Amino acid sequence: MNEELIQIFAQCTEAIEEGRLTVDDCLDKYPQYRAELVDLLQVAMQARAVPTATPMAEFRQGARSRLLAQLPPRTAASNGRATQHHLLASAAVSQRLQTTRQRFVQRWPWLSQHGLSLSQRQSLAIGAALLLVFLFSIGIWLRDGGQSGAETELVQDSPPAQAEVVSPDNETDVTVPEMPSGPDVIAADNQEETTAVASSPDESHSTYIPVISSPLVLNAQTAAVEATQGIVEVQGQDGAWTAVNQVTTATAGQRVRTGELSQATLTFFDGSQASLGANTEISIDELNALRPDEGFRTVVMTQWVGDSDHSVQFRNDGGSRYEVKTPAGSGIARGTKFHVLVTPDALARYIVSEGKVDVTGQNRTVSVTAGQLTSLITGSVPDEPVFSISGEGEVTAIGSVWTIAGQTFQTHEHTLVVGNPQVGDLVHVDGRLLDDGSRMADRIVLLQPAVADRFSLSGEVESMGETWTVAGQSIAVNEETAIDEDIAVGDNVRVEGLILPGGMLQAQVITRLDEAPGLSFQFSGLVQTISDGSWTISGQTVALDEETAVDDGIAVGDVVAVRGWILEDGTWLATEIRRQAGDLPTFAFTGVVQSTDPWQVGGIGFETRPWTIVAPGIGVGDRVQVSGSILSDGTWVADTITPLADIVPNTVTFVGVVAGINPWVVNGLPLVITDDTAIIGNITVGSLVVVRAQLLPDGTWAVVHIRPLYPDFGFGCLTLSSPVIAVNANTIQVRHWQGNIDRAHVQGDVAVNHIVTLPICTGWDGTFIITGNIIVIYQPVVIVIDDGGWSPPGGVPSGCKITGIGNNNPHLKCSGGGSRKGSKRS
Amino acid sequence: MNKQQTLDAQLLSRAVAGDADAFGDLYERYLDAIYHYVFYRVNGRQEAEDLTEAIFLRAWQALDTNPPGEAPFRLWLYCIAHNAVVDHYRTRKEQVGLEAAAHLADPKESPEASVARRERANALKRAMMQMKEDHQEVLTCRFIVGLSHAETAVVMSRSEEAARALQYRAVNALRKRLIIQGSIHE
Repeated sequence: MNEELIQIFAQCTEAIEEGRLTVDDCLDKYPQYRAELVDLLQVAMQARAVPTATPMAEFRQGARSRLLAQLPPRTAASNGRATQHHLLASAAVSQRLQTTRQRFVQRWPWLSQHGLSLSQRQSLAIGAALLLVFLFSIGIWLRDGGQSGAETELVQDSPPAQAEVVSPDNETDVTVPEMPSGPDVIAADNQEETTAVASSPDESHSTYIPVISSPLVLNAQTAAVEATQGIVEVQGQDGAWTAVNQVTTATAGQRVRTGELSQATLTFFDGSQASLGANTEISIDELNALRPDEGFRTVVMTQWVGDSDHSVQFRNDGGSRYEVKTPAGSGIARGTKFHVLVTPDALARYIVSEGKVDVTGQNRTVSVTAGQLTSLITGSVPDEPVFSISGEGEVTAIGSVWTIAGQTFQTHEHTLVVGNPQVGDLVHVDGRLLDDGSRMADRIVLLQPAVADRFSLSGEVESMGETWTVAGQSIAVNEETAIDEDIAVGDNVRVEGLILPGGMLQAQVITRLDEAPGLSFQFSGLVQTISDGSWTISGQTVALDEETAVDDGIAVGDVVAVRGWILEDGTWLATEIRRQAGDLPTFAFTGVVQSTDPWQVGGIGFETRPWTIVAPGIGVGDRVQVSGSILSDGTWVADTITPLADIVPNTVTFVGVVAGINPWVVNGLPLVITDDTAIIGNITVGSLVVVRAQLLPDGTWAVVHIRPLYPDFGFGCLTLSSPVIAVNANTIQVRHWQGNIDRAHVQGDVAVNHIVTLPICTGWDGTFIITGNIIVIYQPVVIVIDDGGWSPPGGVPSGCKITGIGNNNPHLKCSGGGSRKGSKRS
Repeated sequence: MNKQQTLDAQLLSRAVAGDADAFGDLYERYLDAIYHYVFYRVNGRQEAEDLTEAIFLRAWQALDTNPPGEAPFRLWLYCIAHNAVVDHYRTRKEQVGLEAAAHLADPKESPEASVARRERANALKRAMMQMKEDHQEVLTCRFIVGLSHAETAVVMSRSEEAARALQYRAVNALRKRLIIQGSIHE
């Protein structure tokens, strides 16, 4: 399509409508397009000249009174947004609930525009508000006593965070149960609108939240289980598994498991949290998560398989226990953030990011501090803790030794490789740093397949056969090409496919364009609900009609690939739902940008990563095309976000190495550079670039832009943890990295033996760059114990005293809640 | 703000406050414009009348939850009309026969000119009804109703650039249909 002609035609029609030009004036003004403009303007003027349609007299007579008789009564204007009540919840839950609220709020305009009756809106509003209320109420803690009257706000101790509830509008009639009062309760304004919020039964240490069908009771013996993504199930006492609908509770003796592409969060009464990844199962063995002023906290669970992250509220009272057992051993934490992985062959790995975890196996205990990890298998003692390395990068070599993000990693018999990554693919790697300086990969997960050389082309079919001609381009087809039925010469089609070596275009899909009812979408996801005419797949509702092709036997819990059209009214209509073949799930769709932080387009939330290519200048309200991959935990991660206006039809996109500049040659293909070609970034011969080119009717490719593939990401970025071995005036040295590091990168004070994290990216030229702050994550406190006359070096900090020496548990106890554990030194 | 917009604003303000009579005045002011738009989007007169009435009912309800705000009332009304037509097609199961624009007579024209214009209108409508919905919409907004590119973009929830590109494609597609019909010659 000729962009210039589009603009000229638009300007001409506007000028003619405004009387500034006549048709002949336009034709004279643009002689180079005279032939095309004659045709276009002839049709446009014919459309302009249609007679005015007016209603018949019989309709007009009495139209007003007929309408007025049908108008429902309206109250005085409201602002359309009912009272908001603020409930404080934990930060992690609040974050997720904000996302839920945004999705809910975005639904209101849709409801309005589609003219639902007031009663329907009321019902939906009530149901949605109640859902929001009990979601927000997960973080509600102890309350004492009771107070009659209006709704109140509940405050918990720490960590506090804001969350909002949108309650129904004025017309609703939802009563509020009585609310407790106490030193931490803030009474809200007395308002007519009410919502269902928490109230307290007679027990002084529990919170009762009445919801539609069953109460959510939170106390020290229960944990809130929130299905944050996908399918989460809880096993009851009778052994039956029940799917979690948003949130439920669990107690000791119950199990919780997640499915494919799914996540769950367990929140305990003391504020500690466990987040479960996909395909994870845990059992709650003991649960009495009392708060510090009430007694010892006991949380003991067994992780049978999968991944979990734990954020444990700090306690050093000598009796509290937060323990994660595995088939191979167990780890106890006191105030810590750590990750536990249990592989299908029962290898357990504890990776600590803050604090310390004591890991025990076969009666031997190792202390794993921040930045370290340990592994153990059934029947063995834990490995000596080593420092960790993890990150994302391109695979440039595979085998017994992999090269990822420009660095080599050895592998071992238990190295978990997920998704069958190949050279060129983007992966996430978790591993450890060995004493000899080498790196060992424990897990390698495919994130994104290599950027394939792809093209898309729209135009008229000029010839068909073994090779088609579409819009002047030769297109190869084979038995695997999916071709719409009954396409004939002269039809407008869209062709998508691959660019073969040598530049030949190989069609993978040929779609008849005239029948496209909207913008296409495709994604893979987890089937969550199946009903007539509508499925929910990874949180996205897709509609089905009689023409939707669905593989037989698909059930809830299966991962499927969906293709279809986004219709004018925003409905995602599926044309096919197929079982996912095992490739990395991907997605692509078009929508309007609703927010960029976090990203939300067309109602779909997704994340970006350092390798995401975001076109500059995208803002709220722009229509964009988003494509990306779905990670194993169900997170949608965008690879590209491009304004739809930039999606020029008949384009190819491919990745290659620059072999020549002026003339430009990439991947052996000569490129036509025009005045409109954008060459972005510093590109030299040898650079790895993305080329976007337009296919011209004469068969040549005019370059739209050339840019570095991942300009800020290079081959990849890894973060390693390592102890500091030397501190100089302007530099530091760490054990697992050669050379001096500029001390300006270090955040805060640093000393020898401090453990720091080091973020490093590998550029395309092979150089290493420290890309972020170096953070001290662990400062060991060393206390020398002898039989007498001992005092810690530098004296005891103000407000602290040494305690626990008599029971072989020496530590500093400081007023204000902190204490640090020391290590013995003989 | 011109006189018409000023009067619209006054009536709108009263209608938002619940004054049905004020809304009735707005209805009479915009009945023809909305009917004209709807007529060229649906198959027949009866359908156009029913849908026009439904659009104003929606507008009354929308005053509560999605009022025009800063947008001109006229444009806001066209947005509601656009959505109503989309819903109308989404819920319809079958197409009925296309009703000719037989009643669209202009008393100032000669009978011959009137017949010729109605023939062209019928041909155009026949061609448009076979086109994609967004093509129909942009042609109706731009040429039949006379909205600007910017206003068309608002009604269709697209950027102005996208509306211009869509207009170009729609006119090309309409031309092909008219050629196939024999209504114009290549």
